[in-house]
Amino acid sequence: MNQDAMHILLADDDEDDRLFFTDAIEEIKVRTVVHTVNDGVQLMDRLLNPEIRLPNLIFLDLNMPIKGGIECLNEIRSDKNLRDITIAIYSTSASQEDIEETFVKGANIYIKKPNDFSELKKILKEVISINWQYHTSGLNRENFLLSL
Amino acid sequence: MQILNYNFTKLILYLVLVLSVFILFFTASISYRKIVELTESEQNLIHKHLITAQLELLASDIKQAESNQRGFIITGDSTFVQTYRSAKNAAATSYQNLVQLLEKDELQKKNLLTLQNLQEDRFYYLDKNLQYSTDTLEKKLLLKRSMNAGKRTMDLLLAKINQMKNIELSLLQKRSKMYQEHAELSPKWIFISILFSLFIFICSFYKINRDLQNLKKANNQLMINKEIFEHSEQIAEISSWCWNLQSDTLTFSHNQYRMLGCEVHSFEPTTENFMEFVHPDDRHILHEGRQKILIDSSSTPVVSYFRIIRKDNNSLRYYKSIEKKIVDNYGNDIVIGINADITEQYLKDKIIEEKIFDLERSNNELSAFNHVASHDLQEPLRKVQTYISRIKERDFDQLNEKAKEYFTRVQIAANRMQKLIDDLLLFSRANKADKIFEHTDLQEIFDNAQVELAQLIEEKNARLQSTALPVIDAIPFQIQQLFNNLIGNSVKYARTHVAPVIQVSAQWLQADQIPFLHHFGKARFLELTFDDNGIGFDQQYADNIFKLFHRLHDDNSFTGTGIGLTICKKIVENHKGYIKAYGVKDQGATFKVYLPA
Repeated sequence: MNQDAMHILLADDDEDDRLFFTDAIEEIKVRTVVHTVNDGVQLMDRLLNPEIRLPNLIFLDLNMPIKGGIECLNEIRSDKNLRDITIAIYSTSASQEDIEETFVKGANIYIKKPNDFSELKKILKEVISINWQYHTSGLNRENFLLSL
Repeated sequence: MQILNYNFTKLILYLVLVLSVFILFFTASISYRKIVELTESEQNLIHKHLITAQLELLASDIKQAESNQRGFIITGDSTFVQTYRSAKNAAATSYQNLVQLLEKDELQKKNLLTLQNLQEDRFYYLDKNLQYSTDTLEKKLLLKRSMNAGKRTMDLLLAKINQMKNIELSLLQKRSKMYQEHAELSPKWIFISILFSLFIFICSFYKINRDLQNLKKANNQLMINKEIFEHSEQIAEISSWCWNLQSDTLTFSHNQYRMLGCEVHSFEPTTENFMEFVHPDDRHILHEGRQKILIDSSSTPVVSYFRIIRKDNNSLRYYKSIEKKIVDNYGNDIVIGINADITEQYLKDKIIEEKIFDLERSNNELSAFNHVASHDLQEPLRKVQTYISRIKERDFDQLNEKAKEYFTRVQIAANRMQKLIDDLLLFSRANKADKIFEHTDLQEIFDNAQVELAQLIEEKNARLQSTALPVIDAIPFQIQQLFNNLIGNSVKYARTHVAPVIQVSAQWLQADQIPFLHHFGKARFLELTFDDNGIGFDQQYADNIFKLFHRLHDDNSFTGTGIGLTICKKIVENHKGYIKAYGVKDQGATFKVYLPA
């Protein structure tokens, strides 16, 4: 596959959501390589496997069985090989506590799963097109929660 | 109550006692000495009188003998000789008496010796005269000579007796003068010292009496205090005890017996007897407390909790006991203790604890429900909506007309459910206790509401106005919610073809200016008024408007969930305020919020 394509990894236990996600990515026609894992354990196994190329961007659901999103976030941010990967929280809830906690723990952006497919496409397009190297330096609480 | 300084009083009493004893002793000794002196003087006087009398007796005896001797010479009657002899003997006796009387007087003793010689001489001549009392001339001549010599001796004798009498007389006068002086001085001394003693006694009496009065007063107060104490103990269900460590004696207050369900003084107050009432499982608590207080040298109170079983009804009572070691006025170590029957409190606390537990459980259930509402309910709904949006985007045109209509209705229903879940979450957030009050600028809140509702305002062509709004202490996000909901409602419930005009105003009022808040008196309240020209409502439903899920308009053209105003009421209550709704159908509604300063 193309070496310049953006490698995206989605960790979400919900089959429907994984389907929406891959469909949406496919439809927005950006050069990407998308992989999905079903829970936090699979995510970490994949990330820590040296034979698999690290993704540029991880979409991380918070509510997953066995190992949740917050736990994964902690592990990724405390691993020196993984800590620079951009992490977008991708959750149903937009509770203040979750937003605050993931921000403090080093997530890059917070996305509330939309209830409209075209909106989902818009959001993914936006997130993928952000120049994260530039964006990270200007990270703050105000623009942490993505709103279009 | 006046507290007597007993040490001072004691000192004074001792002083008075010592002084009185001293003065009495002094007075007694002076009086004794005076009386002894008086007696001596008196005896001296009598003695002198006796001597004088004896001297005169002696003179008279000799004269008697002389006269009898003369009688015999003249008459020759021998009876005269007999009386002469007895007079002579009497004179000898008198002389012997004088010797005894004058034993201690050296000067008079010398005189007495001379007197004895003269007396012997005199009787020598008298005896001679008796022998010469015959008619012979020679004898007459002898008689005459003898009588002359006798007369001379007699004169000398009398002169001596007179001299001796004079000596005694002058002594007598001297003594008498001394006696008089003594007699005059003594009463004065005695009188003065008695007066002084009397003065001291009166002073002491006054002082003792006053102390006694104070003591009586203090006693009286003590008695009243004791009554108050007893009464208080009964009302407060407490009792007290006191344990003298030196004498190992224990005393209970009357209420202690009552609290154990016994008659007062019905058993001996000992630790062992008290232990009988203590629940067997709790006895060790008391023992440990005892040990602690005995070992600890400081007077920190020891608090212990235990149960006792009342004797009268075998009921279990919960006790709180506070013990403390003190030192009394006699230097004895004393442990004093207060026992409080806290059963009622304990049971109430237990009920409250249970209620708190229930409350916590239902709170937990509520937050679990929140979680369900926010996640588990939203998740399938979101998927339904997303699938709807996908179908609408890609396949809607392929549906027949009926299906299109149904599909649109499905979408509306799903959206409505979404709205309901969102509002319910807002409501539960308003219930949650993140109640941090901050300075909140209501003007800013009003502006924010305008921004948030911008789309709706534009849609309805609404006009928002406000007077100057103050800065208050409030929970910012909740007040924002309140403004959003109230203004949003006013925009939403507009009359068709009438552009909504919404007026927000604020003014500070005193509670007594507000009809239903007048019981707060002078307390200040901020009155916020949200006034609109919308569809209004019938005033008779004003109170229902704040109930959860209660909607006044079942018209589908208004998309309310019946939660918004309930949230408003909750928020206002969180601020200890009040909210009132006033409506006139088809003219407008006014919401008034009163927040305490």
